[in-house]
Amino acid sequence: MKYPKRIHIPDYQRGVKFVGGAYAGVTMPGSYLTFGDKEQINLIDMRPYLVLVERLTFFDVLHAPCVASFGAKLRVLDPYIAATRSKDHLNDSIGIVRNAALSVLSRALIVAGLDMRARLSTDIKLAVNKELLRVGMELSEIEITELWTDAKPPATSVGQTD
Amino acid sequence: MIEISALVIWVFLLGKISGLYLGKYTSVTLLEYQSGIVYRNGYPARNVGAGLHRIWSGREKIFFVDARPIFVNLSNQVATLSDGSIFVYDVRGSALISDVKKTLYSAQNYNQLPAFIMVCAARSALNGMTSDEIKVLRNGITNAMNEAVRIKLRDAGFELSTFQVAKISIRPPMN
Repeated sequence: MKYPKRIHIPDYQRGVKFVGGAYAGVTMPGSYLTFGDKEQINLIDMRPYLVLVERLTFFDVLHAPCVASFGAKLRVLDPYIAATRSKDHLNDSIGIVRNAALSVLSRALIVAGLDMRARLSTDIKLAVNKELLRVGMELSEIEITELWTDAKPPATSVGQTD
Repeated sequence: MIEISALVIWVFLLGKISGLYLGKYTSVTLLEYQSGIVYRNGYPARNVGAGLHRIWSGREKIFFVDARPIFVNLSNQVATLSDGSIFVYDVRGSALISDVKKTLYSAQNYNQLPAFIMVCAARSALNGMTSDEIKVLRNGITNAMNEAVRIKLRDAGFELSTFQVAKISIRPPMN
C-alpha cells in the first residue's frame, strides 16, 4: 500500500481524476490527497501554448505558388479529451494545425492585402478548430505574419473573339 | 515507563497522520534570480522574492519562475518581401521578466515567448516591405518593429532589453 500523496492544482491547471482506472471527473484548482493504489490525477495545463508555423509553401486554387507563415496559441478546451484521446496532445495538435491550415490555404485564392489575412485567419481558425475538437484542443489568436503569392494580375482580353 | 513510551508513539503517529492530511509548515528557499507566487488552495495569494519562505504544505505551494534574462539568437531566418524577394536575417534580443504573474499565465512555454514575439513581429513587418525600402532603411529596420515587440512583451509581463534584426542578404524573387 502506498501513502496518500498531496497534489496542488493551481488555477491554470486542471486534474483529470481516475479511480480504479475509470474516469472520475475533472478536479478544479485546490489541494487534494490522492490514494496511490486506487486514485490517479493527471494534470493538464490550461495555459496557451505558442505555435509558430513557418513558411508553408503551397499552390493556391489557381495554382499560383504561395508562401504563408503564422503564429497562434493552442489551448486545452476539454481536459478529459486532451488527457485520454492522444498520448501527447500538444505535439499531436501541432501536426493537425499544420495540415488543416495547408488544406485551407490551398483551397483559397490568395491575393495580397490585409483583408486577405483577416479572412484567411478566420477560415484557418474554423477549419483547424473543427479538427482539434477530436483531441480536446482549440486554436486562437492567429496572426498571419507572412503571405506572399506569385499570382500575376489577370490579363485583359483585348481582341478576344468567340 | 511503558505508558510513557506508548504515549510518545501515539503522539508521533498522530503528528504524522495530521501532517499527512492537514499539512505542516515547510520551508522553501528562492534564489536571488527566482521570483514566485504562493498559491493557497489553488489560487494566487501573494508574490514572493528571493529568500526563505514558510508555507503551510496542506494548502499552499510556491510556483516560481527563473527571472534571469532570456536571450534570443536566431540565425538565418527567412521572410518573403512584398516584391517577392527573399530576405535572410538574424534576430537577436533579450527580455527580462517584469511581472511574474503575467508571465506565468502568458503561456506554458513562456520561456519561448520573447522569441515567438520577436520572430512574428519581424516577419510581419518585413513581409510588408520591399527590397528597395529595406536598402533605404539599412540599419533602421529594427526601429520599425521595436515598438510592436515592446508592447507585446509588456502585455505578457516581460520588459524588452535589446532587439535587433540584422540583415544578411536579399535574394531575387522566386520563380
